[in-house]
Amino acid sequence: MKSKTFLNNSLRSRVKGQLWIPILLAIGFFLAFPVAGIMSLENWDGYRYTAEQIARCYQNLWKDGFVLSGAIITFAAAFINGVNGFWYLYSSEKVDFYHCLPVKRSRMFWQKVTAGIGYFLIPYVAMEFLAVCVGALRGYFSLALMGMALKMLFVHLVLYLWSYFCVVLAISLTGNLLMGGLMTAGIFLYGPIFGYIMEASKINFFQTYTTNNSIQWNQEYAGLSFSPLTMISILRNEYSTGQGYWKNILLMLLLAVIVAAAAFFAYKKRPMETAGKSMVYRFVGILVEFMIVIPAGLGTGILFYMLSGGGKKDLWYVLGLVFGTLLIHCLLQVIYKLDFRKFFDAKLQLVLTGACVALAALVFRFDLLGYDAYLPEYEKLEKIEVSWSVLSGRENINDKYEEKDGTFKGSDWWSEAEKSSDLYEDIRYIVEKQEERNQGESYENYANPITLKYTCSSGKTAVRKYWASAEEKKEILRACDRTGEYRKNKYSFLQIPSEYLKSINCDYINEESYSIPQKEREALLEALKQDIEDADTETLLGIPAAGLSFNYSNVPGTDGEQTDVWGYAYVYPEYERTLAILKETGYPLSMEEIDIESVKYSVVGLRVSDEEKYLTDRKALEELKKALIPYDFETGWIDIEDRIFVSVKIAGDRNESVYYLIKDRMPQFMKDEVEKEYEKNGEQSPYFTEDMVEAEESWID
Amino acid sequence: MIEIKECSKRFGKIQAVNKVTLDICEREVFGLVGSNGAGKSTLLRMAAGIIRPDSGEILIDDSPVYENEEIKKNFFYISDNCYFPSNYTAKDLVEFYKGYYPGFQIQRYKKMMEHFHLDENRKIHTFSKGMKKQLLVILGVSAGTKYLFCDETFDGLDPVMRQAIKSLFASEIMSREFTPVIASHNLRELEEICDHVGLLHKGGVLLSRDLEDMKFHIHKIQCVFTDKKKEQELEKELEILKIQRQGSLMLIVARGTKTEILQRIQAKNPLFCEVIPLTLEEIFISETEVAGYEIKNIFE
Repeated sequence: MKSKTFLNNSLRSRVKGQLWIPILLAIGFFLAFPVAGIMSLENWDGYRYTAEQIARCYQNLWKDGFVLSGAIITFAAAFINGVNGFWYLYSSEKVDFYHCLPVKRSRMFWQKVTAGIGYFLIPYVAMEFLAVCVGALRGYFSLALMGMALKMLFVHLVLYLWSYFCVVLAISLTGNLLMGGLMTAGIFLYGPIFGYIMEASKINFFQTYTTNNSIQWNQEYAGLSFSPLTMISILRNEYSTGQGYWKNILLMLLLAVIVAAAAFFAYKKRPMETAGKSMVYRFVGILVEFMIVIPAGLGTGILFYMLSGGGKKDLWYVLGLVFGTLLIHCLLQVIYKLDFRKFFDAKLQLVLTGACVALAALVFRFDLLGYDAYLPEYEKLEKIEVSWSVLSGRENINDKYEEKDGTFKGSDWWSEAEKSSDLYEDIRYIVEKQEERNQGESYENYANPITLKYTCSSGKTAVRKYWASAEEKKEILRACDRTGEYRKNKYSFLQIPSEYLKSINCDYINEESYSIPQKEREALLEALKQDIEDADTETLLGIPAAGLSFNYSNVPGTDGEQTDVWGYAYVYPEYERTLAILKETGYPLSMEEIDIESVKYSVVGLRVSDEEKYLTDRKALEELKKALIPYDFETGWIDIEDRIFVSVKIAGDRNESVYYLIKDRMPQFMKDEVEKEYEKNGEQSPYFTEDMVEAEESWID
Repeated sequence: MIEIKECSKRFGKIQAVNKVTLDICEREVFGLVGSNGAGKSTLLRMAAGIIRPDSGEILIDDSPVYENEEIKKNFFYISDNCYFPSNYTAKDLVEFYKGYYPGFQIQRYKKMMEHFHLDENRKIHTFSKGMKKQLLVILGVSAGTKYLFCDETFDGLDPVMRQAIKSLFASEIMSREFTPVIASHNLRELEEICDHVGLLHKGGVLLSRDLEDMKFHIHKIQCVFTDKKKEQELEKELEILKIQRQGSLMLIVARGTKTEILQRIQAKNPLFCEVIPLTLEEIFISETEVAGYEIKNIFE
């Protein structure tokens, strides 16, 4: 009875003066759903999509487009309702007006929450229903679509609750507009900003840290940032691909419940005389200070470190740490106490936060937690995976394609290596050598780093990048190929039906390109598939004789839209079937077949740059030819000499082409040229090894 | 009955209310007086359950008031600041309050609005300060609650209106259980209205007395004696709170009934003797000076 009276009262008198909120939100959702829907349908008509294509696109709109447009209005609704409901806490007059009424705070809290949900849900449901009707009028209606509309409603409702309670929590913890605004911004942006500071610190101080995988970024920071802003982007990505709906909904719901509980207790226990003050609870003020000053100090430090050049980076880092810590602490004191004279207040807190900043800076700068040296114990290691994307030359663009009901979905992939104690020891050696390889110029000998992912039996994963030699990379690739999955995934685009294959281009060793005629495509495709299947691992580690690019168009994707797929496969000298077909084109398939007119070269990477030199001597050119490999054919497991820039002019060609030199095939006269240039610069020969020292010493003896 | 027991409230370094103990009996107009910053508003806000005392307790009809929905239905609080939700008319406000106060007397409200010439369909923000206070008093009385807490409500009201409200309170007290508690820094405002007055100073209660009782037991007399000896005898016989001399004219504030005091003076054969009416302010000055306080400082 009490509730009924209260509710009746609420509905009649409280809506008075607040009707603008549902009206404003109705306009927002009208633009986000029906208007956006009509515009999309009009656009698809304009692109002359078939009815089936439009149906797929329309379905996709409910899983992706509407999720984003609705999320924007949902954020606005959460903010407006949160502020409208609890804004009064900042005014002692309003506090007196509402809290003298015979209503418990808990009841008042939930009454405001339910009113806010009503203001959000009524226009939402009305406009979503209108959007469904718009689709239905155009003939796009199904129960599945209704289900998707309902699922989207859940997404936005949970997102609304989470964001709304974040705003309420911020207001309940603060006593004035300035602090409330800062707190709200802090709750929404803290996670992402903190993540970026950690990311920047890791990039700069951890040699084995890698950001080359976007999934890792999402999992490590965005997902754990507890920010609705970043969470919606993850949810949208996963939901649109049909994954993780319930997982993410439950996660958001859990976070919403936690924030709601915090907001409820902050409101219920709030001393009402704190209206106008900055922080309502002193302990929260101290906690917030630690949460802000420590990352701010580290952030300023790393910013100074990144901006500075030369050998004083560490000095700038320390300066940034001190400046950031001091400035943010002092600013917080001024904001907390609303008095500029309190700039240097709370000295004990300053000392403590400063100590925390110093400790965190030391952990990053000197890797005190052993990030770079991390390698899980062999027994605890479940699997080792490798990302070959950067190391596969032109083949790196390949996604892993999975077929489902005639549709194809491309995604990043990690190649699992067969776990063995030998492989583990090889990796341990690589890990131990990292510090040494990172010193000076020695890393130049290791071209592109290799990225490994460790998965422990506990489920914990870790990704590291290492400088590794071509031989070390070869060992790892052999382990990957032993699983039987490596080449299957790498060349998975070849399983796309040939009806979608629009062209095959062949890149030859003389840097020329040729489009394979349609009548030969099928045979070439089959030959290549067969050669890949029959090839042994050592073949795949060889030097390519040609490269084939495959262009597929209008491939049906799992999301309902058609996509274009591009794939690349090297043709190795052992691919007899494929080479037999390519031979008929008349283009050269080995360096021996090429007539080189001249080679222009220069030694690079020295203080005094080397002048360009020309090589025209036939004998020298023939010798050099054995070491040449086209720029596009370079892979991570071919040890190339990047100290020499080589430009080759082939007889009959007007242009020059860039080639690399394979290190272990380099002719001695070329090595001599490099050594000469290094000597000129007063630097040690790059080919000078400890073995040579020992040999020299034994000769002297 | 409202019982305030050893109630304290501190705002940072400021002790706003310090161990205040007060009893407010039913069916009397209780005046809470004190200078600015004496703790009147804080005490009323605690009594209204808006803020919580740091120590001590406030009981209304034997139940603690803080977060007590049922007890809070027994009083209506009129804040000093006169906040109204934006765009509300008096009619909207009645709708609002009706949900919270089940005993809200709508007919009585309408009658009083007419009596005070207030338009219930007019936006409240267009009302003058005095009109807003009148409206709040009307709403407070119409809410049908047992207690009415008024914080500086009479500040800004003209004497006619003050008189009208005084009559209104009197008729309410006569017709039902009604106890207004009025906080004010102006003693003269309360003099005409209150039955009982509590004086707050620097967060503490200096005194709490029944006004009639005080007036009945304290009197101011001016008299002239020919014999100095008789003056000295009289000073010893009377319980004098204050004595002033202007030439041969003696001004005496003494404790006791009018008859008692006059009998003692007449016995000394004065040349002239007259009882002068005491203002509430004078009573307080006399009482507090006796208690050792410099009243001028209190109401400065």
